[in-house]
Amino acid sequence: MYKILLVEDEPNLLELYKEELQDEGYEVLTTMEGEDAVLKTKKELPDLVILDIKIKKLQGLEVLKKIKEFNKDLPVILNSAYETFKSDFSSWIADAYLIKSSNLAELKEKIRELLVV
Amino acid sequence: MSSDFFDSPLYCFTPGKEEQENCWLQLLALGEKAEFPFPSDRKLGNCLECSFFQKLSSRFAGRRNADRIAEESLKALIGQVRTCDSQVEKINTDLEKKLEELSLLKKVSDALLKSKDLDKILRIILTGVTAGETFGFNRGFIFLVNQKTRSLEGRMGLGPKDEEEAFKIWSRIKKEKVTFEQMLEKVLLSEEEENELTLKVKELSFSLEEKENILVKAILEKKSFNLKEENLLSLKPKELLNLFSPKGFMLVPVLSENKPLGLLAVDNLFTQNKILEEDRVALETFANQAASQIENILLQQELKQKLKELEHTTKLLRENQNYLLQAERWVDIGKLATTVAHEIKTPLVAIGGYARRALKRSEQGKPGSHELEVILKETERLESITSEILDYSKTTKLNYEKIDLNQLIKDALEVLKDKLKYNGIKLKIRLLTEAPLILELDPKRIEQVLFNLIENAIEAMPQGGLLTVKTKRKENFALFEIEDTGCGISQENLEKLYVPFFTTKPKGSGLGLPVSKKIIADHSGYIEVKSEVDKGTKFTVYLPF
Repeated sequence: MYKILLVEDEPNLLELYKEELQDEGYEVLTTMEGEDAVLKTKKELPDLVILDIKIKKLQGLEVLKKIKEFNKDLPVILNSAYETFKSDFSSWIADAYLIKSSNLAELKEKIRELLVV
Repeated sequence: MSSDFFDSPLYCFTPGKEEQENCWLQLLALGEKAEFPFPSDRKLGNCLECSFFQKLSSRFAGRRNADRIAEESLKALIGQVRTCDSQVEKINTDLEKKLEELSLLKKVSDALLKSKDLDKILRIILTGVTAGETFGFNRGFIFLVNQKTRSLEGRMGLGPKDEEEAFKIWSRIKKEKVTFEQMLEKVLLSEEEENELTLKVKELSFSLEEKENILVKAILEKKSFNLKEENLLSLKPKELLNLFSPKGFMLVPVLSENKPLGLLAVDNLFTQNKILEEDRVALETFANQAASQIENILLQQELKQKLKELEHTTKLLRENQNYLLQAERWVDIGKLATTVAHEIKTPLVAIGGYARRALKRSEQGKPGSHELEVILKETERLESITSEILDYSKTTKLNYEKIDLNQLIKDALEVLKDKLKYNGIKLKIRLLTEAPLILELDPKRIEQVLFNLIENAIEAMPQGGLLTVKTKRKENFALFEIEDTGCGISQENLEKLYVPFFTTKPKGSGLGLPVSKKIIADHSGYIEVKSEVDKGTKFTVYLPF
């Protein structure tokens, strides 16, 4: 069973994603803070990380950098409400950049894609 | 009296008078007092040369000294009187002439005040110089100074074009007894076509830097010149010899407050009369009179021009103001966008996501499932609107690539192929293939525009129809046309087409077209629309090479 680390500071969304991903058959670890996310990555060694960028983008990207430094092959999906950052950062740091939507099909598809590799 | 008194002529020629007059002295001697009853009627004529008078005075003189002195005094007196007489004659003639000049000046001034048309004014001035007894020059010309180009330009000429015409005109004036005032009236009332002389003079233009040019000299030195035949040999520039009479011409600068407005030139090509020095002074006075009115008109024209410029500037300012206001709105929208993105989108994800989960769990037909469906649908709609709002407020950072427009369009149509088929819409494609339309553009954005326009077309044809897509080239623009046979757009809606949030569709955000327009504008292109209600709509997008 694949382990996914979910980083999201909105409690409702966190719960939604957790339930949806569990239904897909994944083990889901969660955290609402950036620092904790890095710690959990190092300790629990997830197979994939879903990371929320938030307005304080630096925080989100800091986490991304630290995770990648820890394990460059660990797939990270950036999940954000904004589209603006798509063209700036996604192409060379994260493995995917998704816009938050009530339809999680795209997210699930991306997870499947990245876990196969 | 002895008979030898009567062998001298009974008549006398008085200097200055053409006709003979009776010699009153002799008549008196004959006892004919009635002819010249009053001493004041008796004028002294050629008495000093008259033999009768000589004889008389010698008899009068006698031999005494006193008598001789008296005789000499008498002769001297007669001489003085004669001199005075002729002086008075001359003064009278001069006065008459001056009066005529004044009268002309007044008539011309009056006429000048009646018009605001520059050409009419110039024509009146030239009429004053050519017609009218005062000057009666054969031909007149006016040149005006163009301050902007620093040049002297020929503006008008008046006069017969050849001797035949001269003769015809002058004999007609004499026969019909056309008065000067009548001629002025005619100028004021009629719209004259440009005569040959004017056309000839208008071809001439001289830079004020040409200091050797006699016309320019007159302007720069503010002096008039009377050029006689002998001066013309060394005349500069030579073109003037084609224009003026070879016997000579006169130039008088037209000055207003010592500033040169132009030049008045006259000649006597047909009569070949010499132009006299006294004419110069008269002409200068005349020119000054005309100057103030010419300046008046020129100032008025300048004022009109300035007013026009002011109007234009005001219009630009207003447009800029509108633009600024719009720009401010954009900034506000930008700020709004970030809030929208987070505060609204995030809850939507939760709402929609949970609705979907709940729907999955309940089966179709079970109570509550329809409600959940509605919740889901509306959430999706809100999500799409918020996406569009975010699109709308994006800071424009275009990623330019060299793209083949035809290929881009073909790709977009491929994506929408099924949707078109599903809606019963036939597709007609006419792409310009003679020369490839390679443009520098952001493909994703232009694709967005294409999708927007084509989807609008699809929505306009709910019962199916025809979608025509064409690409063309016009000057240095490439263009594509999206045409449908749908419901069309009414005139009043056409005006609101690009207003953000304006939409006639129940599910629309009203941002599709404004965003498209922005994208096109960011590419330095423009968009046009033609539409007719119930007939169809055609959007044309121009993109520069």
